[in-house]
Formats: sequence, C-alpha cells, structure tokens
Amino acid sequence: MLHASGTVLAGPDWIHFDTTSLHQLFWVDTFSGLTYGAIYALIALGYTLVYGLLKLINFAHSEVFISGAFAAYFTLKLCGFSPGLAYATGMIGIVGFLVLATVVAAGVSSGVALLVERVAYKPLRSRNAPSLVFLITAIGASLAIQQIIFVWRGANAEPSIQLVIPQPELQVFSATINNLQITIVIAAIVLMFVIDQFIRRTRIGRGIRAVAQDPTTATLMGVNRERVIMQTFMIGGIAAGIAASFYIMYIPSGVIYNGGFLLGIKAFVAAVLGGIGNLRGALLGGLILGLAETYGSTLFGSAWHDVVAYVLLIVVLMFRPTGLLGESLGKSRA
Amino acid sequence: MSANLAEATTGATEDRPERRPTVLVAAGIVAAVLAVFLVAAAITLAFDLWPAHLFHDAAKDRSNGGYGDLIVAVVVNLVIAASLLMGISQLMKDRPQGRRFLVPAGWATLAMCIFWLLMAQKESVVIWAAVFFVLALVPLGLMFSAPADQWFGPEWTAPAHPVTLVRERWNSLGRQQQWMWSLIVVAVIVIVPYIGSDVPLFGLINTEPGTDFPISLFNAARYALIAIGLNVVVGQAGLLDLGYVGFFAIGAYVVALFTSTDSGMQVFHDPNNPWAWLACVPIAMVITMISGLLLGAPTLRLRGDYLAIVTLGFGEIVRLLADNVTPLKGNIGFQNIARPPGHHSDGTAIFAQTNGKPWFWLTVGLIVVVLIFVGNLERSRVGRAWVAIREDEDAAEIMGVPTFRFKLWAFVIGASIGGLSGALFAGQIGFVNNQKFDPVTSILFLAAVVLGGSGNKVGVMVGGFLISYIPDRFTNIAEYKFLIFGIALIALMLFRPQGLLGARQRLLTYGRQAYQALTGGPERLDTGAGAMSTASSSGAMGGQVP
Repeated sequence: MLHASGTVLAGPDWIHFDTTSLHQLFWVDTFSGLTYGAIYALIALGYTLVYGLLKLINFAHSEVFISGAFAAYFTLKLCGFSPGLAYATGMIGIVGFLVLATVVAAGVSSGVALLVERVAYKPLRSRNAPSLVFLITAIGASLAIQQIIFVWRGANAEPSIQLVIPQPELQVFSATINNLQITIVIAAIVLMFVIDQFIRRTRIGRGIRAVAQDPTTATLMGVNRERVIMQTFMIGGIAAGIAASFYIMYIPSGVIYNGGFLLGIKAFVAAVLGGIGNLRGALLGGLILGLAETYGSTLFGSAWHDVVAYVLLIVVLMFRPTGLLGESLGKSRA
Repeated sequence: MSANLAEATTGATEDRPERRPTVLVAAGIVAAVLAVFLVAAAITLAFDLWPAHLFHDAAKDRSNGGYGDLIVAVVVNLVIAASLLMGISQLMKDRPQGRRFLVPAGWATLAMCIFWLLMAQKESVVIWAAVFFVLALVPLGLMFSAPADQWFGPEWTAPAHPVTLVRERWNSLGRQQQWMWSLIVVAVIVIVPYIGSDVPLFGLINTEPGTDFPISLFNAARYALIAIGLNVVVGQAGLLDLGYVGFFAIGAYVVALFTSTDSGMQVFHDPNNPWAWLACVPIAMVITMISGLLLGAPTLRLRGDYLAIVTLGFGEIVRLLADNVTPLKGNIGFQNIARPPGHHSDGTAIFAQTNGKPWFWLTVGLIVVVLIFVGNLERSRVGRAWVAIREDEDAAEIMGVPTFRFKLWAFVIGASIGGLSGALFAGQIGFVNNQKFDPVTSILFLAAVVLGGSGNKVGVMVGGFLISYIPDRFTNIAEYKFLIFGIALIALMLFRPQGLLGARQRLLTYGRQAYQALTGGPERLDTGAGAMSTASSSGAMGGQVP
C-alpha cells in the first residue's frame, strides 16, 4: 500500500509528459493535426447537418463514411492499381483517378446515407417515435452495415494503395509539409466553404434552413420536408465520401470493416466541439480536435492518441454543451 | 363498397357480410398447398426419402448422436398441417373461427423456416425455407388484409395477445401464489443443466472445446444478469447507456487485480484462500459503483442522446486504459484468478472452469437476489421516480422529483450489477485481458435489453438469454451474430418498439397501486377511456371501494 501511494506521488510510471518532444515536433504535429482535422471536419458535416435538421445523432454516419472508403478503394483497384507498388503515371492521370475514386466514394456514401434514412428513420418519423428509439435504430443500422462489410471482406484490413507518394513541398518553421497535407487541408476548407455557401445561398439550402428552423411552418410554406431531409442526408453523405477518399490517400493503414467507428466518434466530437448544427463549427471543431490529438499523442505517447477525443468530448459537454460557436443550422442568415 | 363501409361503421359482428371474401378463398387455397407440403416434408423426413436430402443430413444427425431435432420437426410439421386443415374447414363453413387455426399455423411455419435456416445443415435449405416462407406469408398477409378484417369483425381481428393474457393472470394472483410460482420456475431452471445433448432444441450439438451445454447456460445466465442491470438504467430510468461494458470490465479487472498471481497489486496472495473471490465481489461492486458515480455526476445533466455518446466514450476510455496502463497488462492479462470456495471430496474445486453447472446455479441465485432487490426498488419511491423521469423528465422535475439524484441512483445501481457480472466472468474464465470489452459488446448488451422488452425484468432476461444462447446453439451463424442482432435492433424499433415482452401494462399497474394506496380506493379520474379501462381491469385491488 505504501509502495502504491509512493508511486502516485512520484507520478505513475505508465504515463509520461514528454514536453521536450512536443516542443521539437510542435510544427510537424500542427500540420499533421490539421490534415486529420480536415478529414474529421468533413465527416462532422454529416452529423451536424442531420442534427441541425432533425435533432438526431445519425449514429450510422460512421458507416456511411467507411462504405465510401471501401468504394474508393475498390474503384482504385478496378482501375488497375494494387497495394504496395509505386506508380509512374503522370500527374494528370493520378489526379484523374483520384477524382474518379472520390466521385464514386461520394456516390456510394450518399447512397448509403439515403438508404439508412429511408429504411431506418423515415418510418419512425412518420410514427413520431421518441428520440431514444431513433438512436437505438441508428445503432442497429450502424452495426448492421459494419457487419455486412465484415461478412463481405473479413476481419483483415485491405492494404492501402499509395497512389500519391508524400513528397515534401514546403518548409515552414521546423516542419516540412508534404503535398498530401496541402491538398487535403485546402480541398477540405474549400469544400466546407462551398457547402456553407450552398446552404446559405441556394434554393435547396434555403429549404434546409427553413425545415431546421420550423418544420411545420416550412411545410405550410410549400417546402417538401421529406425531400429536404433526403437532400440533407445526401450532402452529408457526399462530404463523408470525399473525406473517405482523402482518408485512403493519407492514412497508410488501409481500410477495415470497423474503421468507421472510431472516425465517426471523433467526427461527432468535432461536431459537438464546434457546436453541433453549425457548419463553420464543424470545421473549427475538426481542426481543433485534430490538433489536440496529435499534440496529445506526442505529449503522452501514441497509445493515448484516441483517449484525447473522448476526454475532450466529456470536457466540452460538461463545460460548454453548445460548443464553441454554438449556433443552430436554422439561425444562420441568408 | 359504400354499403360495406356502412356495415363496418355500425361495428356489430352480425352485420358482417355473409359470404367470405375472395381473399379468404385464396388464403385457404394457398394454406392447403402449404399443408400438403408440410405433410410431404414430414413423410420424407421421417423415412429419409430423397427430397429431405435437400435440406437435411441424416448422417450428420446420426453422428451427432440423436434424432431429437428430426423427431420434433416431423411432429411440428404434422401439427401445423392439422391446424391449417382445421382452419380451412372452418372457413369453408363460413365460420370466422378459422382464423384461430390459420394465423398461429402461419406464424409457426415462419418460425420453423427460421429454425431450419439456423440449423443450415445444407446450403440448399435456403431454397426450401424460401418456398415454405412464401407459402406461409401469403395466407397470413391475406388474413390481415382489409376485406378479411371486415369479414372477421373486430373481435376476430384483434384477439388478446398471449403475453397480455399471461401477464393479467399473473397480476391477478396473490402475493403468496406469485412467490410459489416463482419458486417452481426457479426449481425448473435449476434442473435445466442436467438436460443432455440428446434433448432436441436444447442440448448443444457442436461441443467446441470449453462450451458445453452447462457453460453456455452459465453464459446465458450471465447475460441475463447484465441485462437486468442495464435494464435499470435503460428500461427503468430511460437513460441510454452505451458504455455498460466499461462497468463489466471494471468488475472483472478488480477481481483480477486483487487475486491474480500476475498482478502487482495482489491483496490475496494465496490462490486457494477460500475468501479471496468472495471478498472481491463486494469490492468490485463498490468500485464499479464509484466509477458509475464518477461517470454519472458530470454527465447526467446532459440530454438523452448526448449521454449515450458520452457513455460510449466512457466504455472506450476504460478499454483504452486497460490497453495502455502498464499495471493492467493489456493483451497479456491476468491468469490464476481466484474462484469461489468449495471442494469436492476428492479435492478438486467445485467451481472449476470446465464445469458450468455450479457457475450456472451461482448465477441463478445471484439473479434471484438481484431481482428481489431491483423489484423492490421498482415498487418504491425510487422506482416511481425513475418511471416519471423516463416518461417525461421536465414534468418530473416540475412535480418535485429530484431527477438528477435519481438518475445517478439508476446509474450507480446498474453499474454495480455490471460489476457483479464482471466478477462472475473473471472467476469462471480465470483469465482477464483487454480483448472482451470492445464497444460492440455494449451494443450487444443493449440489444439484449431492447430485444426482450426494455423495462420488463422477465423480458430482458429472455433477451439476455437469447443474445447469448442463439450464437452458442447455432454455431454456424455465430459469426453473423452482430449482423443478426443489428438487423434485429432496426426491425424491433420499426415494428415492435416495446420489445418481445413489453412493459407498458405492468407500469400502469404500479401507477394504479400507488394511486390506490394514496386515495384508499380505485381511481376516479375523468380523464377518459385510458384511466377508466385500467380501473376496470385492476382485478384484485378493485374490490376496495370504500
């Protein structure tokens, strides 16, 4: 007993605060964290849109993402690329194949999102079921899709296809930024901007905001609520599909049937962190979460990488449950 | 058409059309075909003729040491066929009684198809089951179609649900009679492990190493215990907890840390110390209660769906701690964990890992104790507060229920039961590492509660039993168990959100008893039909009019 308390006083030996390497790797971590954060932000968009519209945590969104990742992977495979090889295809060719994979991933993801909406949520909505029932159905849908992929592909991860070799492009402070990081972060920010403007300026976006503010009045004003809901799920699915394409480009560990779960949870944390229901909040939350994770894993050791997100979630919900920008989808002005 | 409609709105049974509608003729024809198929299947199965070979492997049966499932199948086929023929003959005489035979026979055929699919001795069983499925589904659908409903009239269209009937009978029994019947049920459950593998439907056919029938019963009982604990949180208080496996893990790890020889924090150094396991169980429960308090205190102010995600995070944090904290030894884990005391006369331990029977009886005993405890809580002020919170938290708060405190209570009590079953698990397996506590297990626990009927203690025990026993019994679908239970979650929420055995009626009973205790008589609320119908059906308590 005495021994145990002595250890506590000296700091337990299984946790280290590696401040020196955090100091050294600060900028490296920053850029890698921003890249992860951009991917989280794109997934978080789906959570935030659906939550803003229906006050529903679409638990199956993680599986919407992972089915996009599988779609992108198999598109590349069908195009003749195989794992573990380096390709000398020209720049334009590679970009073409990546765009193709992204488009397929976005299509499959939005299809899965629509399917979940139609099969799992719509019947409950027409019955006016309590929100807990929605959540349990969502969990069931998530588990079912995940296990369908498991039955199809088995428990092993598909080896990743490295189409783009990371090459240092820029030297900022002490860190080099590679081409993938630049592409992903810029593409994600541009995409978030486009979707934000889409929600703010277009007719469809106006419909989404109207239903988010007041579904009954919106219906009376001639907005087709069901169509708006389907459009929202599709936009979320498209963003998740693009994120999935970035994910298989950037993360070398490959895609696995349950890989969506962790990313889904993290994206949800990102959405909550920025203020769920708020599009700009999703971007901010995603980037902050990505940074916090990489800093955290350098500071405490890479084994604690995933704990950061959960702790951050609990802390945010305890102290600021509305998130950093805490504003709902409906309130954003045209 | 308009004449028919007018007849329907008068509501009287005598006004139904004299002639049966065409859909029922069609239903009868298909049912007759089904009956012929069933009899044919029974004959071919019984005499091992050619068509049966498509879906049934007699040699496999023989090598498994019995024809139990086969005999059951033949008898069930013949009974269903007889019921179908009875129903058809009633319909031919224009009697609505036919529904009483045709509808259960249809459901039984569907259940039988699912059973054959689960057994899946041969690939071609899929085609066979599909034929029967369609043949049963068509008459069922026709029986429930609008013209058929109209011809049958209301009393034949919506007969009392068997679950409701059993429940009403049970509620009308006196307290002593309820105790007596409970004792009989427990006695039957206690002798179940003696059922050998040759008894149809029950005994395991495939005995993989380490899972014989008593051990799979123990696992099922452990799941039932977990389901009771989770039911306190999800069913009673209406808090969706997706991190319940975290409490289970803490219970298992406490026992492992304090008794395993691999542990650096070992308190009970002698593995043969008879008190080691027994002493650790209350410690494990207290520690899980504290962890429930630590999780609940900051998070229980959140709304329902946020709470679900936070608890999911908690479960993951527990697992990641087990992965990463050096004293918890991650994947290597702890061996030589203490067991409950007791030795046979030849010196071997009673609670051996390979012998499931004592473990099963111990778990059943603990379930009974926990049920009495939870049942009394349910009937107390705490239970009523939980129901109030579950039904409408804002309203409960306004009525003066300290919602936060009672939600915390639900969390802590649920956590302690999770810890208890974790301690049982650690004792039986004798080995704990980080592998068994992934989040999908939490969802499996939730599926047990939702499947059985959240809020209903008997229901969730049945749910826990099914979740654990089905993959053990039908080993060829064990790989797909998460897929099956995931789909089951969606299907249940869409078609039967109250679960297999719903809880609504019982809770009304409690509310009624509370009201009667308060006013000293049956309720006199003029809020409409709901209150009136419950007052008239309250049976035993209804006689106390002042």
